[in-house]
Amino acid sequence: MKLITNWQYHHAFFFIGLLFGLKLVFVNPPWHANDEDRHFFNAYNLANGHIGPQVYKGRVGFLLPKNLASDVFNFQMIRLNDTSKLPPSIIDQFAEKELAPENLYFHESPNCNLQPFPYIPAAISMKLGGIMQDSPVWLGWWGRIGTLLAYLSVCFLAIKRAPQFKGLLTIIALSPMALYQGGSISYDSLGLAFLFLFFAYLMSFYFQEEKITLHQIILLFIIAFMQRLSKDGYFLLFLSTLFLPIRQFEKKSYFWIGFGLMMIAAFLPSFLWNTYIQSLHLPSEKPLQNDFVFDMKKNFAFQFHNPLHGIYLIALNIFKQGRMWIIGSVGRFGFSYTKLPSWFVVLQYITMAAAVLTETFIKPLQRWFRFGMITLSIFTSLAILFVFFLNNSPIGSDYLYGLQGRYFTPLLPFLIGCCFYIPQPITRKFSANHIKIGISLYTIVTLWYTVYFLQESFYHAS
Amino acid sequence: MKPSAQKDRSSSTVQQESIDPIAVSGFSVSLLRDWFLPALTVLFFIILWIGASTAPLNDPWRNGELLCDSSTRVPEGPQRTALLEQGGAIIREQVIKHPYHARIWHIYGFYWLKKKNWDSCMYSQRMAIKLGSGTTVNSIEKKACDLYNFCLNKKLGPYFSKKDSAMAIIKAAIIPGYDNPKIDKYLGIIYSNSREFDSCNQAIFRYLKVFPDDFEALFAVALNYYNKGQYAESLPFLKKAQQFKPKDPNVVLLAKYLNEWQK
Repeated sequence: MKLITNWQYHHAFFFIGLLFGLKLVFVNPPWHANDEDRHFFNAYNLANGHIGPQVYKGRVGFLLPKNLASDVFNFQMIRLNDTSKLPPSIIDQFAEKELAPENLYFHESPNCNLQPFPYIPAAISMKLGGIMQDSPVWLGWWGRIGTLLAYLSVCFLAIKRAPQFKGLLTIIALSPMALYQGGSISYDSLGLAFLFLFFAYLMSFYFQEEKITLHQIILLFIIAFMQRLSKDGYFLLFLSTLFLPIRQFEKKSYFWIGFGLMMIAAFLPSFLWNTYIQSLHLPSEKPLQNDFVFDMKKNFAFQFHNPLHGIYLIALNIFKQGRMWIIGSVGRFGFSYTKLPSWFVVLQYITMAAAVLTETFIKPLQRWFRFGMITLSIFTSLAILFVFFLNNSPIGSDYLYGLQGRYFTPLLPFLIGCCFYIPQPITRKFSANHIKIGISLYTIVTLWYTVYFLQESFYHAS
Repeated sequence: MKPSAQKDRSSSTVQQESIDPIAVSGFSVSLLRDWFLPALTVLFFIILWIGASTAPLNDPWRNGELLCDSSTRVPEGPQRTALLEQGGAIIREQVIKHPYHARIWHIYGFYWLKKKNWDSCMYSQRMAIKLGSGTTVNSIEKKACDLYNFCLNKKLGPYFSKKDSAMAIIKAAIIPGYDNPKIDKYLGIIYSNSREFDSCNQAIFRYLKVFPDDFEALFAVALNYYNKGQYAESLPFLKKAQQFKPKDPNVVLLAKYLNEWQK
């Protein structure tokens, strides 16, 4: 009983996350997570001491061992479904193939200009793990393990630090999609984790009895900065500091310093990195895709010559694809886009809502603060939608291309936390310990099911 | 009023509720207010969840493609023609509107394919190849090239034995700056039919460098060597061709002749 009382959410999170995260690392076929092939090349390049891309005969990309590139291409974009599955033995065969670093190949990569920060854990892990096993498949696994450990560590801090919403954060950070991305080589992993940490610190500042100090503001700035170094698209959420009560700050000026630092965190990382890349005078990189023409300005001119029609199309897309995005925020995996069953997704959302509705708050969450969070989350969602509609969809397309539900996963703590907040818990039948145990068991069962589901979806029974 | 009491009241909604003047039979305005946002969120969730089946959304070029495809699923007759023309008109409009999209040109090719208009299909695929080459994902180039070569094969069909006409078609089919190995295969067939075995082998060998397991090309080389009386050179190509189609009647026949020679 004492063990259960002392057992905190962050302990449960780390233990469950490590157990099932490692399982997912190996159940997920090599380079099968979305865009993982390209992120893997970035991480490998960094592991070999190159911060930026390389240039070879007027082309920009990465110099890679030939068998590493060919193994990646062998697995790249395989669509696994009921009729097409992998025999487990094939992965074992590939895992035994040693890396041949002397035979090199130049790979033109459209992602070679990405910021290297989110690949640091994968690169370190590849370098260290490569001493033991350096086959291309194993390098991919080492990279995933490094990223997973970084994800778990940052989320551990977030859950530990959060004064409220610990249960919600645990459910979201251990949701199948978040842990799957957390355990794959991608900028999503640290992008997600640092946004959860940002949420946790924001809440701790809101709920703390003491005034917010300059040190705390700087700490929040560092977290926001690292989030932005990992992934763009969510910087509007940094403005949530504007909704902290101004009287909560030690000095009034700190409120505005906080705002200024958040703006710096939002724009400085990409500005610095782009300046560095421009200073290299690199040739233009190979296009990612050109079956359609993608051009934000031209598409804007096309779609918004009649603004109402453009907005109508976006609204239609929300209705048409909304369900898919909801499913994707919980579990739609890899290049196969394998979806978890609908009942599972609904259950996950009910559980997230229940975690908030049963929570006892140490002080009320003011309406101003809640609506601020919700507004910023909605604006972030809309910004993502508009960018994908104008920049990632072909010129003149009615359909919104390429937007996946996992892009909304980082917004879930902000949205669910603030939308389902009620001043008193819905029931007082369950103690905090009961809820803690319930949530831990729930995440174990759902992750166990996810692993089983992915194994069934990706591999032959033999 | 004591300042501390004032502070307590404003910071706790629980206490606010206890002094709510409208609280009849367990119902209170504050309760309604507290549950408004969760209820709205659930409603929004439900709308999104069920909205997918009702939203009328598809790209026009996709609609055109679907109509053309549907035309092949109905029996020959006026309905088929109507569906095909309806689809073709939509895609044609899209090609005019968006001449920079490789994929729309590629889709347009299927309309011409179903109309068996090889020239127009080849033209649309040529545009798709030109616009859609050299990319990392969602490449249209290979599909467009396959369709292009299919139409070229159909167009060459009646002329394979008429060297001059066939060579004129081939010449027009070469896309400057674009490597299309299948052209060499067709050249090989034309040379073979005109019994120019050396030229045939040169062309086919270029093709085999890219597609070493092409049965037709392997058999063509084996046959060329046989026709030239170079039986020893013919044998390895025949054996490789046999691996792919051991029961092909031409293969069986050539194997029989070469076996007799070996004896």
